[in-house]
Amino acid sequence: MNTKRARAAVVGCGVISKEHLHVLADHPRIDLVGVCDLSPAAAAWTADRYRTRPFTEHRTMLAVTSPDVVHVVTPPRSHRAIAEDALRAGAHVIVEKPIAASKVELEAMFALADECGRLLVENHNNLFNDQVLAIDDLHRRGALGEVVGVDVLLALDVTTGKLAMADGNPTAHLPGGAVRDFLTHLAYLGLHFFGDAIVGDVDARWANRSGNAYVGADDLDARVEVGAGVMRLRFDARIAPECFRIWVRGTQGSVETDLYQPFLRVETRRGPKQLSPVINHAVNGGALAAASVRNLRNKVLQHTTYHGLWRFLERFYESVLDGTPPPVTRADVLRTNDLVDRIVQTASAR
Amino acid sequence: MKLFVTGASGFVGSAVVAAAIARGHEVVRLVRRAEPEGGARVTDAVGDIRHPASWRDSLVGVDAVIHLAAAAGGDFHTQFSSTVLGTEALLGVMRDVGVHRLVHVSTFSVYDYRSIPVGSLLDESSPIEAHPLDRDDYAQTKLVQEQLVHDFALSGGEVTIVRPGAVYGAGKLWDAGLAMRLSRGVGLAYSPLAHQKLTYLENCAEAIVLAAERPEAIGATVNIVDDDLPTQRGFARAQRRAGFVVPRSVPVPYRVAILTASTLALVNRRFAGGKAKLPAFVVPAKLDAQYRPLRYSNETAKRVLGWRPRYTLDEALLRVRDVAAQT
Repeated sequence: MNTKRARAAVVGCGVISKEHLHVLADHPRIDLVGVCDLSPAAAAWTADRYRTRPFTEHRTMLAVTSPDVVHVVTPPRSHRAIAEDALRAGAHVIVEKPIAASKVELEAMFALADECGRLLVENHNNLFNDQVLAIDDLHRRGALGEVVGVDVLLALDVTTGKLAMADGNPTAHLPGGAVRDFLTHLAYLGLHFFGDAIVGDVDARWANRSGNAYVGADDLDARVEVGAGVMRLRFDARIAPECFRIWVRGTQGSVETDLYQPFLRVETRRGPKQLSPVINHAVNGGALAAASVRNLRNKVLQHTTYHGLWRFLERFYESVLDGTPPPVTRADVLRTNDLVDRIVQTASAR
Repeated sequence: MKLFVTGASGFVGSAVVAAAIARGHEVVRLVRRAEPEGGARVTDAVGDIRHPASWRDSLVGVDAVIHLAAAAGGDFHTQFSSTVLGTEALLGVMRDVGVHRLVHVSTFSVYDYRSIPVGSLLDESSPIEAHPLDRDDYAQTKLVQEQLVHDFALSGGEVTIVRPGAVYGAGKLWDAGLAMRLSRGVGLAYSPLAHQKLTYLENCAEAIVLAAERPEAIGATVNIVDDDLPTQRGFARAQRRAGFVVPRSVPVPYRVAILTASTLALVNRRFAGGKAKLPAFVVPAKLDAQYRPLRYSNETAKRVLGWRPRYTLDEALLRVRDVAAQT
């Protein structure tokens, strides 16, 4: 086994940094060499918690610690500048979503990554969640046939409660506001099940339905033609309980899941044609009951919605240390951001 | 005095503003959204404490800051952002504009309860929590916040730290000290015979304003609890006397509760690597912070602030009932 180790640094000590830092602190092949935040208190607390060095200026951290990998988990407006500084300092870079404000900006970042001979990826952690991997497996085994429809619905209350985005909203400057903050997840999840199919017409509209001016748009309805199929991406801040539903429909069967309260409902040809619906219901009923027990265990053991990030980062560090393919390709990231751009342009033009 | 009050629209903050006005002070309220007018001697600075651009000018010329802004709910990062980053921003502006006097409203949650023997006195000399990660998000972030305030004092700030106990008042009666509700009419009472570290809202607010007024309080840390502290059972009875409906309680002696929690902690470590997230009332450090039977004193508050709790428990509960009746 390759015993090379990687030196990791994290820029940004906000809410999402914890998920990255848990992985870095526990990983046997990673040395966490520094964390950075504009707030001295946040940098100091995080450094103390994860036993590393605090910095308040990322260029100083890059110069002092010479990291192999930099995680950029700051508000989106600063992603490009920090990622480019890290690439120039010789580090591979993981950037939280949205990686850039536009595809043009993203292409410039990739050009710099090429110039520096370093990897640059956007975090697409949900692709590595248990349920998405289970759907991948069904798809690979042909249980769904050709995918012709994908619906992704994220229902998340960003207007009240703990996720309420007040005037500190990190995406307030981006068109779409709160919707824009989550659009990357919707886009890469939707595209994933269509393989390399070409994206066709895009129709999208967004709105602010809560009246909370801070959040910008809090509702999105986008319809996207992909190859011979159709994808629908929805964000809704009003639906309760909150959910993150994915419904993949193919010519042979369909599957539905929820990333927040995981289950897998598979409807496919089982047994004789006339009995197939009955068998599907019985099998799915049993699976739903089993999921309730598993979800309780996962909740207690803190196997959260972010568990896909562990696999994503694991794969990324293997690509850095062992030369294996990264968890998402450049083509995946560009395709995702191209779709995001088109949705933003279409919705903004309405 | 001209006082700048952060968290001024909150439960304690609004009572502090009222107490300050009653004592003849002028108040600048830092509030996130426009509030109903507060009277002739009240002006508002509207904005988020973490973003000083909207309120920094309002700090110029004030005599003292009473800092109450903090998050008591939400996940760790929500609380860290409001409580710690908010304090960091406030202290930065105070340094910039030359305001040195600070009354920082902290909490009893910062104490290290496990290091204080059962039945002993908890006072200002008691140790601060040495293992914050064992505690809840509120205690963790308030500990970091206090450290920032200590640093401010070391750099020339004139600081009084006020640590109120459990503040009760209209809309907040702590469910009569129950650990949890088993049903609508029945709850679980841990340590039913232990003293509750209570202070009535108006008593506490007056102590906080006195801390800003008294030069002797500079450099002091002061715990705020009322006189004649009731037990959980006594608090429930007093609430019933005042006409409140209180759930019946199933008593659980402290030793039984802590033994159960310690056993669960052992199982968690042994079989789940300590990763299992359990409710606070079965986590030893969190349980101790709420229910460990201790004694409390307000001698320092009386000596340093010249404070006397204005209302007894029964008087306070009647005032709470009257407010409830009006609303």
